[in-house]
Amino acid sequence: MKKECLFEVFAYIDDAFIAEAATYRRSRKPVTWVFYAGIAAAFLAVAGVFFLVRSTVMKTKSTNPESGLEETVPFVTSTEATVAVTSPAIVQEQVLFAPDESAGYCQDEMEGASAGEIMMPHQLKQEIEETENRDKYFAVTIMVCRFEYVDQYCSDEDAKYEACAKDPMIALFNQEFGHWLYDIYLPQYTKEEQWAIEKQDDLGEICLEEIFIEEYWSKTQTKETQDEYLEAKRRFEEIQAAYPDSVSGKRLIELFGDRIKEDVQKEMERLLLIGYSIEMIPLPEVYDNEYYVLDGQYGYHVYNGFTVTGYLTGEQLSNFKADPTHGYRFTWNTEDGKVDVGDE
Amino acid sequence: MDDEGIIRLYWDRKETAIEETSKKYGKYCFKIAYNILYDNEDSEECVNDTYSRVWNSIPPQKPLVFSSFIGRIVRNLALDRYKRKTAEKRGGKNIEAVFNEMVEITSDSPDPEDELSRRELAKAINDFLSDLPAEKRVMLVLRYWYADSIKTIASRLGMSENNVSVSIRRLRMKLRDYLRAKGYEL
Repeated sequence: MKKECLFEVFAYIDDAFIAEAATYRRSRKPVTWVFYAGIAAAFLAVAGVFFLVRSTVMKTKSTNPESGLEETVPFVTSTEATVAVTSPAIVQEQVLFAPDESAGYCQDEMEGASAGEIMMPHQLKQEIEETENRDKYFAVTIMVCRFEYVDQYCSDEDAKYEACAKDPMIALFNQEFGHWLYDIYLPQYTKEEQWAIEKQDDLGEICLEEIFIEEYWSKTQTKETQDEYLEAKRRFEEIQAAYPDSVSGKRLIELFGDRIKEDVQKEMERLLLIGYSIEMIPLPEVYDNEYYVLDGQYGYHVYNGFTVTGYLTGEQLSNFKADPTHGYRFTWNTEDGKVDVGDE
Repeated sequence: MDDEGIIRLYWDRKETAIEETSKKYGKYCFKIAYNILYDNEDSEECVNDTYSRVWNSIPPQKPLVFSSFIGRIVRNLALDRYKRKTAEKRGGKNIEAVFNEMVEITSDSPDPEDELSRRELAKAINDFLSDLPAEKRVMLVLRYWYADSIKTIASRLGMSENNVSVSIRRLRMKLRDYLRAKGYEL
């Protein structure tokens, strides 16, 4: 049978399995990257608050006494307006919205932008290129992703974990276990029996590892090797137990909460000083507080950063001035304020 | 709008059915197509073809799980398009990796020609899947139905890429042995 044919046969699997895979979430939280949780929160926030933001930006127009032109004074941050920036008036007719929700979404893998990266929906890019008047405004939402020191800390913790998992004694044990299981133990049984044994092991009804130690490992390895393995295993179990706490939201907030607040303030000020008419989105009513650094009505996700919304011209979007330590994931908003941000 | 409402629109022959389908499942379909075709334009065309295929299928069909129904259509259309692209030597690189893994399960025996044989084989795969713990089943379906990358699956399930890769390999071997035990020489 050709490999492509087997892939085609997979098309016929049960509807229930297809639907299950589309919505499945692991019961324990992913330890290094919880983008989905942030996305869900961002979605709630964006959907609920976009109208408010829109009306705020639209209504904060004033008249510049010198130029006689209308100006917009964008919002700054929760710690009072420390930066007063003016930008040209945004007239609703000048604003371009996404034709539909899916057009406004970055249609690729559900990942946040890496440091320095700008992710923009394909159709938004196309529209900017095709729009003759580069001064036209686009209604956008921007996820300012990642704090490099949080990433670095998590990656160091990962490295410690991996180093322990790759301990030569553990590797030897795993190699011997594989050899025993597939070359010695299972071949004694029929295929059906082998399947049943592995299933019992999956369900925890038997423990193949214990059988292996008793029947094979203890008889083929010296006492010294066995002790070395037990020590490596103890170290590994210790780090395995500590690892989830070391990269938990609570721990990250303890370590980096204050720095994140300062960093958000700094980045927000930088963006406003450039002249972008943006506003930060307050926390949604429902959110996973385990991962948020709280700051008044705002909250910044320890992995995913914060979200702003507003109006940027085609020119500003084409030459968006990214900070190299953050990533920027753009969504193009529809006129009714809906933003389609992902699977959640 | 819920799926039942969308299906009702199709039965009433209302064109808003397509609009609602696109709103709810546009991105879902695009992702499936893109995993196979690895090309924005082709994937978008494929998703549009899917809508017209759904329009022509409902009625008479009344799918029980609309998401799987539409997902299956877009997957098949993307695969057809992929075959045409491959003939033109401009195939997607993502799906190649998935196919290459399947070589470990298949052999030189001929492809099952009729749909009935394919459905029988699929039933055996279903039986295999239903016996697996949920997480392992999801892993296999994400890889071989949705053609998700190992990286995506790892991020989705909160596991390391290496862990996912090893688990999937082991599951492939199990599937191969299971099918052989059932008399399927692939």
